[in-house]
Amino acid sequence: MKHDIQLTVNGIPRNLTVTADDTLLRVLREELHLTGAKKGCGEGECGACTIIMNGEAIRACLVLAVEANGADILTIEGITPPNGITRVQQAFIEADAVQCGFCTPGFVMALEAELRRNPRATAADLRNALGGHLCRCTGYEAILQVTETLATSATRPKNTKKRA
Amino acid sequence: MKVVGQSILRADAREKVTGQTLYIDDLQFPGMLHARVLRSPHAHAFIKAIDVAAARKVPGVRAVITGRPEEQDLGGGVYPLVGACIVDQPPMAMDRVRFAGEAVAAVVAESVAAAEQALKLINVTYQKLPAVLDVREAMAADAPLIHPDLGNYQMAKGFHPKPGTNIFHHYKLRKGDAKKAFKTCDVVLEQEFSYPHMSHVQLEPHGALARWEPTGGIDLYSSTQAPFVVRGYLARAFRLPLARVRVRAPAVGGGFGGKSDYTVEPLTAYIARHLPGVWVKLILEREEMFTSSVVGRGVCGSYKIGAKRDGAIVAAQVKYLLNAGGYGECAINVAVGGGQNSPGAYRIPNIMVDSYAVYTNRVPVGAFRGYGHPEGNWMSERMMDQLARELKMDPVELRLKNAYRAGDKNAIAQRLHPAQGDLPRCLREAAKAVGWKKGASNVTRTRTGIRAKAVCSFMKSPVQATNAQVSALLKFDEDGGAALIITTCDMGQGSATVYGQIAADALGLPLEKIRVLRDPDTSLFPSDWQTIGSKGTYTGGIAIIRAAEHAIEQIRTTAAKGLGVPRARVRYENGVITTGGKKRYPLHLFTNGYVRPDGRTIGGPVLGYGVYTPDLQIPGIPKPGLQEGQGKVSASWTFGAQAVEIEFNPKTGRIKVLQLVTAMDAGRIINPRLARGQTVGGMVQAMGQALMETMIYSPEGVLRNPRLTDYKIPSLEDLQDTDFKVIFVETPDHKGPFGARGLAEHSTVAIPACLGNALANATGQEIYQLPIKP
Ligand code: FES
Ligand code: FES
Repeated sequence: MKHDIQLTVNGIPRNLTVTADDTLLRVLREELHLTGAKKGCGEGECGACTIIMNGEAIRACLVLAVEANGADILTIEGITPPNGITRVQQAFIEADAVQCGFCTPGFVMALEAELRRNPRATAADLRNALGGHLCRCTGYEAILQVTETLATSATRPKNTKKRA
Repeated sequence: MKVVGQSILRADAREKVTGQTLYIDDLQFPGMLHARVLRSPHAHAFIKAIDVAAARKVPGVRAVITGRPEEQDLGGGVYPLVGACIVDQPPMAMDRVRFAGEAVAAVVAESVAAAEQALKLINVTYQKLPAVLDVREAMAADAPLIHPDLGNYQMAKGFHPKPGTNIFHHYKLRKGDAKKAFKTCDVVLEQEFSYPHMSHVQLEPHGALARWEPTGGIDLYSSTQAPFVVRGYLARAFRLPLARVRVRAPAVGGGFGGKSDYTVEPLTAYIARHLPGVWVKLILEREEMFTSSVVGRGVCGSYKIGAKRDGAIVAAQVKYLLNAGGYGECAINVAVGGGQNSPGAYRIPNIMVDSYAVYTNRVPVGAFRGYGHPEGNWMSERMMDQLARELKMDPVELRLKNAYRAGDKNAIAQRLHPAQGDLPRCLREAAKAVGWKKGASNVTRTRTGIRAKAVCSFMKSPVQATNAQVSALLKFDEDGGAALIITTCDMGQGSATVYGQIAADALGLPLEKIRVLRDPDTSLFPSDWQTIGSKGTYTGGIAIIRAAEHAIEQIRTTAAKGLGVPRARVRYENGVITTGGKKRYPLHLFTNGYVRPDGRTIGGPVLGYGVYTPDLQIPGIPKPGLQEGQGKVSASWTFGAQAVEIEFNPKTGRIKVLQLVTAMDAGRIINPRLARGQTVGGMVQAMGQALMETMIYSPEGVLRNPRLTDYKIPSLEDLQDTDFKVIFVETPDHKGPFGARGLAEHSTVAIPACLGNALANATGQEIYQLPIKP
């Protein structure tokens, strides 16, 4: 069964024909060639496929394309300003929180979503936003550092302590 | 020297944080088709019949392929068996399956969904055989044979299979006379150990994209650490000259050894062969990463140690049994590396190691970060703590007393050079960092539990062939910059960044002038063995420095001829040429031939070539093998020590890891930040192996937890209480590039033993099996 759906992806309206069991992840990657979101597990267990749908971080491998009909979608390709990078991306580079990079777009998108929702997010908020995101390379030290940096640079005075 | 030693930002970080890096599954080609694979549900069975008629009829399906002998026949009864050290695996099961998850048939279709639908319609008739899962059972005289043809397999020299059994290699190491020496010891202890099978869980699953060329060759992309090795496997299996096989590697989303040797490449090439001229993509699902690709570890064995009252270790005897799964190629050298290094980082005059690689009906085992070392270390370092207890010695002091020092001959008769690292210092640094108190119990009680510490040694060498060469090219641009072409698969370890730093300093040029190519291609790149064993910085770095020297020679020659001065007068420094006078000539005048005022051009484009060839001979050992295991050496060793502090809650049984410490002598550190990242990442992987990861099989040999829901790896939440300390003791290597040695795997080696020892200290409970379950 084919379905016609309409999405806004990174600000561009898209009309697509999909099957009932097509995931949003497959459609983004294979039909729209937005390969920034990765498939690490296909069952919601790794976070590599995280994108922003209607303002919220979601796992695109768990959403059917038909469920996303009418949605406003932002992928990592859409958050990156033409001649620069976002604060989150910068923090990842500076903390060396990127090794193989396969998990990175998912982590970046989760933090982007949280900071857009809550610009004064604390480090704890940001860590919560990363629940269920797996990284096999970094050992998370540098990623935890990113959450500290982003919280510190937020407007509210820092009230977090990483290690109790 | 300007950039070596600095924490330069990772060269590919910006691409990665913006999602632009292309991995295998991101590649698409016009007309590309998708393959999915039918997997055996049985661990051991004959394939009696396969019915594919219904599957062929599914809309969108372009081919259904089985592994039946008549389909695999390359002509004249020649089959595409894969292997180099032991040639024992067809790309797809032929007439029997040897593990649950083995490929039995494949569908190629216009979409993954169509392929999957068709898979369900394939009907396979199996005749079950008894499954052998346990390594000791597999070694028993009456065990069912998993490879009855073992005696007929092609094998490389130096391997010792036992036809008529499941043992496909027996590695022996004999130094001194351990049997006799035990009799002279005051204390002799012996224990059995095990280290289960585990998955690498690279976040990126294996995948390949293959096209059979009209000329009969293979063009293939793969997520691999070893493009040249893969090319060799494909060429041998499909009986092609190397020139007819091209292997390219896009960015690799995590390797950890699991993408060395071969993964899905032979299978993908075999499938694509049925549809010549079409790109066929095969990407494994996460479940297949557990059930159907190479996995890691799977070792059990025993360690016997003998010492004098004063703590001097006199003898060690190790049995190392590798439960290698259904096929042997990727495992066979793990048994060698494990065997060589299992006695530990101590001068022990009498050593006896028997390491066996054994077929079982489990998922095949291959390289996994640490390559045999963590398994041996788990045994030897647990024993060291027990020996210390028995002798009533401080465990750190016992280690210091026996630690390898410069001038010692190691287990395989290699004399350790003073510039090869300082293990005692690493031990002291690790002990200090973790807060070890000499002579004390190092156990304290707090409100929330029992805190305990442990310190262990490690050593690691790349287990490499004597012809494991690396070559590098520096191809100069007209503006005096250069492209560095060297086959390194940067899976996140940062080698492209480090190589750029080495090249920049070797040439005295700013980093911006060097482009490090990151997409190896066996048809364009100079030869390299493979990116494994933490050997990249060391061997690749040497090749780069030599390429730079070669380039500078060419530049000087062109300058001498062009400027009409004797060559001896031409000096090159930091991208500037001088000829004895004041005048400074910029480099770019000479990199693409020097153009004289009259327009005549002298010399050509500069292409620097450098090669690293291992120098693995030992003086005094004319031929390896005079005494078993003596003289087969590695180019470089890295020594270090690790320490942990845990808090154990006796009520909940929970282990909180408070500190993870590594003090390692990796020689000069080229990029401290990247080196720390590697080290921390390795420690956390090892922590996962020690505390949570294990593959669980049913009695029939079917994996019970092939998903991330049931196979847990460390998550961010698990590390929030953990403090990391990384100390680099930098004794410059006498041969390494700018004094560097390898470091990428090392931090995985001793963490499990540290955790086991700390828990034993906390609870008195001795643990010999991983994962640790208090
Ligand atoms: S691919 Fe979606 S969570 Fe892993
Ligand atoms: S950087 Fe490789 S998985 Fe996170």
